[in-house]
Amino acid sequence: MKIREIALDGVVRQNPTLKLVLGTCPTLAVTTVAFDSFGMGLAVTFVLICSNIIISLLRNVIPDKVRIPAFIMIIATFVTIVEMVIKKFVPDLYSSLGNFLALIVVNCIILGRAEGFASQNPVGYSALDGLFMGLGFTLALTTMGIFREVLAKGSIFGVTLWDANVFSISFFGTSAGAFLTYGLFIAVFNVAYNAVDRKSRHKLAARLANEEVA
Amino acid sequence: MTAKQFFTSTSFKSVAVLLAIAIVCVTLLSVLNPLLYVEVGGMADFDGIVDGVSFAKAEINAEFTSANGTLTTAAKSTSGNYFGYIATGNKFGDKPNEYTVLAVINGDTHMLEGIKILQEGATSSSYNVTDDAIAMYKSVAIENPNVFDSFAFGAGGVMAGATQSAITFKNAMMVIAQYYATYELGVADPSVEINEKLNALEEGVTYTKGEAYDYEAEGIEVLYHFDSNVDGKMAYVANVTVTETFDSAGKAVELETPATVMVAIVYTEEGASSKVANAIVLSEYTEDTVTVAQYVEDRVVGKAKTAISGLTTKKQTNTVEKAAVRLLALDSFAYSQAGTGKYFDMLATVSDATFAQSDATATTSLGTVLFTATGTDSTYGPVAGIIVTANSAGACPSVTLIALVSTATDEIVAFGFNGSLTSGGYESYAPSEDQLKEAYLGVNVSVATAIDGVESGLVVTGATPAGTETSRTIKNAFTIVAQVYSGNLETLSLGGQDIVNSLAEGATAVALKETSKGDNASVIGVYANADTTVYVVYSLPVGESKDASVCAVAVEGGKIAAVKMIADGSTGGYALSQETLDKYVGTDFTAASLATANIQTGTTNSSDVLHNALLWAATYANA
Repeated sequence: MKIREIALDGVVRQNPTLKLVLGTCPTLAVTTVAFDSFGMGLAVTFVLICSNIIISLLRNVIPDKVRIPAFIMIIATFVTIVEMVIKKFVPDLYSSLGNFLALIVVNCIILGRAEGFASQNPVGYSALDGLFMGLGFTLALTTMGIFREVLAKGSIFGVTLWDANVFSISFFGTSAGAFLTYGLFIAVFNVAYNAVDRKSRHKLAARLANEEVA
Repeated sequence: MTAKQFFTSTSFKSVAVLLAIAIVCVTLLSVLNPLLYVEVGGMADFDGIVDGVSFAKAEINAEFTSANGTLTTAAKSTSGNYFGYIATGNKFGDKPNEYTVLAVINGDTHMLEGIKILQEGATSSSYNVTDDAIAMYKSVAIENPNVFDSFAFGAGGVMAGATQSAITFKNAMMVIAQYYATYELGVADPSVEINEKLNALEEGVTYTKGEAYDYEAEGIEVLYHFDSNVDGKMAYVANVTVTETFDSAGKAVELETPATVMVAIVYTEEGASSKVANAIVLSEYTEDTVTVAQYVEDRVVGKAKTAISGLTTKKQTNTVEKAAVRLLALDSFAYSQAGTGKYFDMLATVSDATFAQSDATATTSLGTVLFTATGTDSTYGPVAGIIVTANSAGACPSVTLIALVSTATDEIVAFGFNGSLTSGGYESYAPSEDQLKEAYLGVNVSVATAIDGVESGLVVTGATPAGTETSRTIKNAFTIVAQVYSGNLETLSLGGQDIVNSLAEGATAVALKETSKGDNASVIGVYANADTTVYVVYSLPVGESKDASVCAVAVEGGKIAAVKMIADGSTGGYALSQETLDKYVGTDFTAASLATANIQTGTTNSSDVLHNALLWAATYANA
């Protein structure tokens, strides 16, 4: 398996947020501002990498019957660690993310990668899978966070771009705005992805045809 | 199964692996916990509150707890003159949590330089403490323990629309101010001791010092107001200057030296009126011979406020009692946000208008007369000021109306309302100011029925029951004003006197019992001659019937002799005919009989309105 494939899967082809539509709760809840989105993304990435590594290491030790509870214990441990770290060093982010931080433990992306990838692949690949899946999640959340923060508050990462009293669409700061943003991002991402995918298929087909002719 | 088989079985392996993972996880977290654990309310919370200032924990004096909450942490800056505190303010109302607040005070300026909320108490984030509210707290130097008492809530206050959260947060801030002023500035708070005395009055009832009162008039200086954990129960503390006492014959005798007596009065609100639940004399005053306990028992507790004020004309026995009675007689207390003069000033176009309050508290079938006053307004000339609260005519809240009537023309020249006209999502159905002015300004109220001619439909912006209920309630308020001004509170309004006379010739009004108001209907008048008793009943709408109905039912020998509608609130075409009404004639005038005698005419809502009226009238009559 190539590293490039893992990277492409995590960030684009199987982007957990925009392609697989996993982890929707935090996606909708914390993307009101870019900073929180980025923070949540990093937290999930940390847990993904660590849990994938440990689960991959133990994949031949953990009996199949109890793999899910074992995975959950491992994931919960790393979630607790990341929660403690954020509470200690970034208390504002801790307050902002609230319960969603603890709820990482039931994030489908993490359990999904543990079950679908880490438990079947070597440590190196599993770590990379965790890294790129986390990056895909972080990128999607942060982009959405930037989009919503700019429109709803006229700022980006807390830096004011313009006076929100002059122009802002506060709707994008609401729950309904979160759903609309999410829908738009999925649509745009898939349209772009399909267009690129179609183009590369055409190129491949043309190359194969040329080779055949030759 | 052999031991070897057991130890090599999948089940054993599974349990062993799970256990091993659990042990490793717990061990890892145990190792990390001391390194990463953040104690809520710990010293780490002080970091960064004031740039470049770090704090060290300080001893708390005597585990400071006041009526507002508890101080949990005290700190002193290691450089510079700063004091840091963490306090938990008591919950108020439906708040799920106490507020835990960290505050840093500059010891030189006594100003708050940092506030950090460690635990929100609001039910939802929309009620969280705002930056504007925090800025208000930071704008005041803490030079005495009561510095935050004067912070008001509501419009212009620290947190409009979120009173319970605001009070909960304020409690925490008050604890910090109390502690800082008491132990760092050496300024004691006398209200703390008073608070303890109030709390000792009744088990389970605790008082919390509320907003400060800036009221001083007629020898009465209000010092504190206390809310309690019981709805409608509150206490006022005031210094009352007494210049006279009474001799044993009840004759007023001027004191050689005016005495000041501090009195705490506990009120219990009961609807529009309030009663005195308890009273304490807080200052030492030894001249009287009657003990306070006896005075409370005999004279004050349980008496309505107006009844107490009446005592001033009766034989009085001691100075303390007189002080308390004067305190109670001042209506401004119970209707506390502002004095009545202030209410009337709201309506006066020129501020030099003056008003002299007079006693006129009374309850009618439509509501309560709170105050009347006379005065001179530089625009309207001589005027009468009347404040009334009309009972709700449906689901909308009651309405308190402040009206000015020109005594030269007998016309309503100005009016306003204390509080909102509607609530609970029906605000959009409140009549507009223009609609109200068009309907009521200039109406001559020299007769009690003057308002009858105002169609409630004229002052409704929406054609919904909520809108009509609001406008009916407002109309009721103006009706009471007309009744008060015309000097005839007992006059049957709504043009029903002729109908009553036709049912019982020469009937005279009978005083209503206190139980005249039922859930769906109210008996608003009872008239009787030798043979016949007529009950006039106001009945709320049912379903889509447009308006309330008023009917008169004549009773002779325990049976209904006649039923007539005075005002039919049915929607168009569904008014009950006299023939329909006559179907009740001959029915026993008892609730049991009427409960099964609902005439169903096909216009169910309208007939239900009538049925409710008769059923309640019978219940009232036989109570």
